[in-house]
Amino acid sequence: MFRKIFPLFLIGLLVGISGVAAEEISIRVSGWVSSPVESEIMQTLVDLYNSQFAPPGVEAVYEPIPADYTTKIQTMLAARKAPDVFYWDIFMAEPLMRKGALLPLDDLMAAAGVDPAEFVDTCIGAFTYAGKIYGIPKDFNTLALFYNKKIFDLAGVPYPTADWTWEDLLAAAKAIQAKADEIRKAVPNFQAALCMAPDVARWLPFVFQNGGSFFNADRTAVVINSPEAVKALEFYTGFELVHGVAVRPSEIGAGWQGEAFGKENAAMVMEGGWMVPFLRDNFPDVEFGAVELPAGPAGKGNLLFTVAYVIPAYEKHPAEAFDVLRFLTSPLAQMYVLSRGFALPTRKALEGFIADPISRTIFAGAAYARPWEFGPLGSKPIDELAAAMEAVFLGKKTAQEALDDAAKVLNERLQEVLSG
Amino acid sequence: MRLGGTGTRGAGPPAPLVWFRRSRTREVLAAYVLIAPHMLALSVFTFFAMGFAFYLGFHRYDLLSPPVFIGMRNFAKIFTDPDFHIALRNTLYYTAVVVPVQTVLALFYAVLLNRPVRFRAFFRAAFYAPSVTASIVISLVFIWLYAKQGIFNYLLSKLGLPATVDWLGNPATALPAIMMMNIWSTAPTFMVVFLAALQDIPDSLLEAAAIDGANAWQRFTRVTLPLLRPSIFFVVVMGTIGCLQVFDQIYIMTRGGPLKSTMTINYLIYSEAFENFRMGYAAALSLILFVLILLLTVIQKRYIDVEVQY
Repeated sequence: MFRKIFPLFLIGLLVGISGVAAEEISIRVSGWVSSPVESEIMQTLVDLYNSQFAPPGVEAVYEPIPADYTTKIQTMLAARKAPDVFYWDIFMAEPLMRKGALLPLDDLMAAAGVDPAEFVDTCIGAFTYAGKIYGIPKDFNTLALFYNKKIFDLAGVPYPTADWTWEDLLAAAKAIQAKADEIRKAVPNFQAALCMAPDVARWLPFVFQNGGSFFNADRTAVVINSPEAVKALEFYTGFELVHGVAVRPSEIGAGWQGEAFGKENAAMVMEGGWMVPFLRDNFPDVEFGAVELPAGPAGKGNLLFTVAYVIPAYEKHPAEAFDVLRFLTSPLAQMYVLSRGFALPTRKALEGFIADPISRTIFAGAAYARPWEFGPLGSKPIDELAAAMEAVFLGKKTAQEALDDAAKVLNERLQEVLSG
Repeated sequence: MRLGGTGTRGAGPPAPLVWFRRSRTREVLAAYVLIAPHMLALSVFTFFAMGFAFYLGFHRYDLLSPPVFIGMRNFAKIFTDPDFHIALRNTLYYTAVVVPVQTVLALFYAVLLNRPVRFRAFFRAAFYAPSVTASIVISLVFIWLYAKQGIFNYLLSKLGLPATVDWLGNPATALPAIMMMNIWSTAPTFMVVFLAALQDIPDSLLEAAAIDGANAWQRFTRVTLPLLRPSIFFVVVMGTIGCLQVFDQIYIMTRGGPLKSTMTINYLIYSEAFENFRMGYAAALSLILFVLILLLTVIQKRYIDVEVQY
């Protein structure tokens, strides 16, 4: 009897002692909050970790940051008050990685048996710098061509398909626009076949589809004023300026392309997987489909948006923080997020569980998408190129002039960063 | 000669001097103790910050790596930075329009409300309301008023005018739209200054002028206006400083856009510091803004602030 109980007693004693002896470690987990669903999902995951997986003496705490996320985290990093595990967006990854502000995860991953090959290559590649991995992507998105089935039916135009080209897109847009008056009888809000914003994140795929790129091959110069990119901007703005088949969201009082699509102002928009929950919650009556972006002269092109969990370089409890990070990117956590219809898993093994056709379209885009990032330039190109696009839309500059000006500013900035 | 409170009535002759010394020390000590909390806050959040900005202006600093001394490179870069030129032009344009208009409007309000009109107290309170409302709140409300389907366009359409102006989305109208809003919300603050000054003008002067045959307009331009000079100086200087530092409305309403048409120096400082994390460059920009404000204030002092003689 005693022999049976004694080991249990000993274990109990040890656990008790360690519980008393070890200080309580709390691991702060932060992210932005795109919608109430996101904070609810995060809280559920953190609660699950604490109740089922947390080692004794460790507690994860969810501390969402509601606004000015990038600014807040960077100042917190400077003040050494950053959360132990936090979201970090792909386009701000390199500035932090090259400054050594993030903790390299390779050793921790190896110790915990997490193989980088389990994750979608482009996603984990975007958080790799100088051969080291600094973040494990939690989910990702690409762009797709969303179309309003009702408007296509009214115009008598067949639905878009995955093998569309630029010419097919333009021809369909013209065919729809030609029937605008008839469409308006049934869909009074209808404005144009397409809604296209002066947004770099929508135009850049056209650059890729035309064989252009943001950086040169060794990433030492910005080549966004290449003939391929200029042609892509002319084509992108031409839908509105030349052919009159597109409107900008600001012209029709919509905050973004998705809203214009939801209000049925436009028959087609290029947006990401976030459209699905957005339309379901706000415009449940709109019948829509989505296909891969049309191919350009140089073939298919897309952008990959992703967010990783990262740990600050000066983390005091790296093992404990990584344990939380590992749980948040585990198949279990990603399956839960997927089941809530919120985001696509970055684990290759979970691809088979993506059932929704639109999610599958978004996933397919990842095969050829390039990451949404500008290396050490961070967010600067986003503002600079948006201003360039706006100038073209407003007729203040030609595509060539606008991109020459932007490239000049961005190249100066790049030299400054690379030399420093 | 009276020293201290009870000095001269005291008995012994040398006592008052000693007492004086002691009381003087005590008074000074008390003064320092009383202002200490404020001085402490001011030192940390203003003087230290100013000194640190000066230090950073000559360094490259991104918050994460330690500052690197680069001499005058930040300043050299500023003068060739197209964004700075845009921001400087926008800021000066904004100041050149807003300061005169809001000063004249404030004076007009004050003269109006200095007269014995019915419900004067109500009007004073109503006019003053925008000044005590947070600029963030006003900005958020005006985003809706300026919207394409907003009230301003509705009123324009009622007047039979084209009502499709995208006030904040069009680079030609965005800055003027913010100017109009700020004139409307700031003028009443300065109205109060003018009201107080108007009530300080002795009636006898105006009466004397009237007896000498001056009409109402002459009394205003020859008597009232010159006597308001110190207040006009104050209003113009404070208005100029406020305009050169305009930020929160732009941060809320346009974020410097469209096409950088509302990019002001202060917004550029914010965006370089907290979006691009070029703290040193932003600090250098803020030093330039400081010099600009100092310069304009000195010029204004030279031409407006002339001693008033009754």
